Amino acid sequence: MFDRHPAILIVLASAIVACASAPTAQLGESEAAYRAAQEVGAAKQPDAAYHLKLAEDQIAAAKQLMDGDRKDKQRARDLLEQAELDAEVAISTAKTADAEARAKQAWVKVNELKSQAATPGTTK
Amino acid sequence: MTRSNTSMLRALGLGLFTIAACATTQPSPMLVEARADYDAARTGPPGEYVPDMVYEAKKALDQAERAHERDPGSYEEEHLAYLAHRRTLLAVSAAEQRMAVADAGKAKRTFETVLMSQRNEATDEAASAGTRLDAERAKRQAAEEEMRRALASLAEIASVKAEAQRTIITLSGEVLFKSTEATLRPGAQARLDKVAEALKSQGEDRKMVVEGHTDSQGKDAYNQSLSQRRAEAVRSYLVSRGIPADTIQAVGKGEVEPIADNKTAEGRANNRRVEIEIDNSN
Repeated sequence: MFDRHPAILIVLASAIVACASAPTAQLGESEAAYRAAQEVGAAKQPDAAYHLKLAEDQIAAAKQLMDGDRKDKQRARDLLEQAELDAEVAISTAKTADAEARAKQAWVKVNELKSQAATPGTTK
Repeated sequence: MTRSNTSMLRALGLGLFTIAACATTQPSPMLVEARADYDAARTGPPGEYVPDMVYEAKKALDQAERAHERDPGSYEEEHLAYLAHRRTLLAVSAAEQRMAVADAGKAKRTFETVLMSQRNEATDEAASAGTRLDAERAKRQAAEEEMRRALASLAEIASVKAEAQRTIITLSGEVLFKSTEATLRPGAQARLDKVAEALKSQGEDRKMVVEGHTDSQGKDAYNQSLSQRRAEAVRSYLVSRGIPADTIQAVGKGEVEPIADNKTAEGRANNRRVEIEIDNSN
């Protein structure tokens, strides 16, 4: 059966290899996302910091499991996937907080301008 | 077995069945949270602003739902629900970000609009101030023109000499008074009416001096007195015609400021005169 369908054999084999090997590529992805989250200042914003911490803990836990048995390796892979998404959530949340702060600041400027007009003399 | 024992066993059996049902069909708390947050996102701003990201969350949630159908409450279901939940959070955050950026844009446009309207107001104010200045200038020019015309109209009855600081209107003494008298001739009044009109046209704040002058015949003291009374008579008449009393003075100069030769009759006639000096300096 398999020699009639070599393509299926190759797909199955590579799937088994992927599952059996340590998720080093996924570790790279997750750590990159984590560093990116740190760079946008996720630690400074409470919601973002929460997801940054989750990502950090998940990466640390995954590293403990990476060299274990097949089941551990799968668990490590899952944790790293979660860590990558949590890091992305941290990045997005931090950027959103920045955008909201800029919008708030822009309205403050509008109100300042309006109050200057209401009390002539202060601008001159 | 007693009757009560039987019902106890039945109750126990029902309880076990319920527990078993729970263990096999209840979703993990993570899936419950993922479903609820996804529904809120789909019907809220993320559905409007980032439908592509909501669709990604839907695909992730579908995978978790399939894992749930295969093996309810399993580790795999929980893991996939976690990923689906994070996809939903990403969509929510992205939508909030777009709203914040749009809000900031609106604030900046409002700022520009307010600034523009303030500048326009300032420009309008400056323009109306400019208009006021122009109007004042035009009014002043019209008044000066009126004054020139009024003075020119006096040319028939008086000599008008316009200098930078003062204008001098000279009226013949013969025309105004009988010899040696200080009472105005009836015909003089019509002439002084014209003078009064011309003086009023120059504005009410100008200072004026009416000077009486005589020729050199007769005693100095008499000439001084006569010139003073004649000046007073002219001043009184002008005041009666509407020249403000506090702007006009009367001065008798006597014979000391001749403008012609006192040795000839013509010269003496010219020296007998009344001058009205208008101060142009203010």
